[in-house]
Amino acid sequence: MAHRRCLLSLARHATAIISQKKMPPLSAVEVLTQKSNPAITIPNSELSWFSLWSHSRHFSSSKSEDSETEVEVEMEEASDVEAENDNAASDLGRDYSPEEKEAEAAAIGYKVLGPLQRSDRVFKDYEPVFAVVQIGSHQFKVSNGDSIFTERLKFCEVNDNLILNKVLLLGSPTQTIIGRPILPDAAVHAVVEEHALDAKVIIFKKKRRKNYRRTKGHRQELTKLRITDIQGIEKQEIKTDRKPLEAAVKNPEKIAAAV
Amino acid sequence: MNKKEILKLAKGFRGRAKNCIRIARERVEKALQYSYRDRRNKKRDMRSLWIQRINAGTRQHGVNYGNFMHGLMKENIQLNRKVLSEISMHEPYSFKALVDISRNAFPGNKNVVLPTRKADVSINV
Repeated sequence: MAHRRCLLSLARHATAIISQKKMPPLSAVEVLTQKSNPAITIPNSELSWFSLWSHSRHFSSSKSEDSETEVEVEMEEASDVEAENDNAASDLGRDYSPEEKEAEAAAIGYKVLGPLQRSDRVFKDYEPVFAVVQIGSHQFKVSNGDSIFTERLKFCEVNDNLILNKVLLLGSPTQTIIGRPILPDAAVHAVVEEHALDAKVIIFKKKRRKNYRRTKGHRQELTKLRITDIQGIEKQEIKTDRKPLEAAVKNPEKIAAAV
Repeated sequence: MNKKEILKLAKGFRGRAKNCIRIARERVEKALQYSYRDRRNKKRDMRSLWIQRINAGTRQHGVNYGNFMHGLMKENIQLNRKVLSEISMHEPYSFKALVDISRNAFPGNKNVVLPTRKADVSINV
């Protein structure tokens, strides 16, 4: 994750330096008006959502284990090897048969599975809008067309549409919307590009003069997501001619903003 | 690890440590120990770097890092330091909005002393 994430941050620097902004001092007003609403609405919506899932869990689980499966879903990610050794069938059974449970585990990682991608025109040109999204415990500042590496996301295959719904901040050339802590109406769409393994790190432990030396290799499982869309903030309409290169698209935007 | 793997890991070492196996083995073992330790140190170093960058960004607006983070905690804004440092570098207007929120949330920040500007090359006019 370290190698791949460093390369990504360099690429993002290069693209971010090109885009410039001009903003009238309306942002403070916008931020203040947004301040009260999310703070009030968030706790109510989150509590009701989780209570719905807890009710549906009892109804949907048709197998013998009822309350144990709740604990097992959390333990599953910690000890995958033990689960495979003991019950290979129950591991798959936990994924497939209770589909609401699958969605709940996805909600813990703050993603929702959309349908598989057909011939949708999902990939747009670069828009000067950014969002800060949280997946698991990691936060990312993403924009349209970025690719990010996250921990391996279960329950999604390659070419799946995801919606990342824990959005902490939205920004555009004219507005900044700050959530406390999350924005309830914002969504970031992403497509799973690949499930990959990170570069190998060698874990080497040695105690000198004690004849103790241990070597181990480790490859972390990653998922590469491509961000396609950010919703929840007003975007500027581009009315100039579009060229296939990204650099040419950004120049007309600058000219339009300056005028 | 056999000799070939050790000499492959010893690429770029100084002097005989990249060629001769007896010296290379010692240096490679030390290098692997350092990398184990530094994988943990890197997390600390990066967080320290982010805090320095956030500090520099907020002091341009007359608020120091401690008061800024205190104000964000009061407002229940859960942005982490990595993202805050990226915003302070690349999104100056959004960062100014965050600093204003923090300044309003923290009552001891009314006497704001902005640093004197040497040149008029600032974006945040």
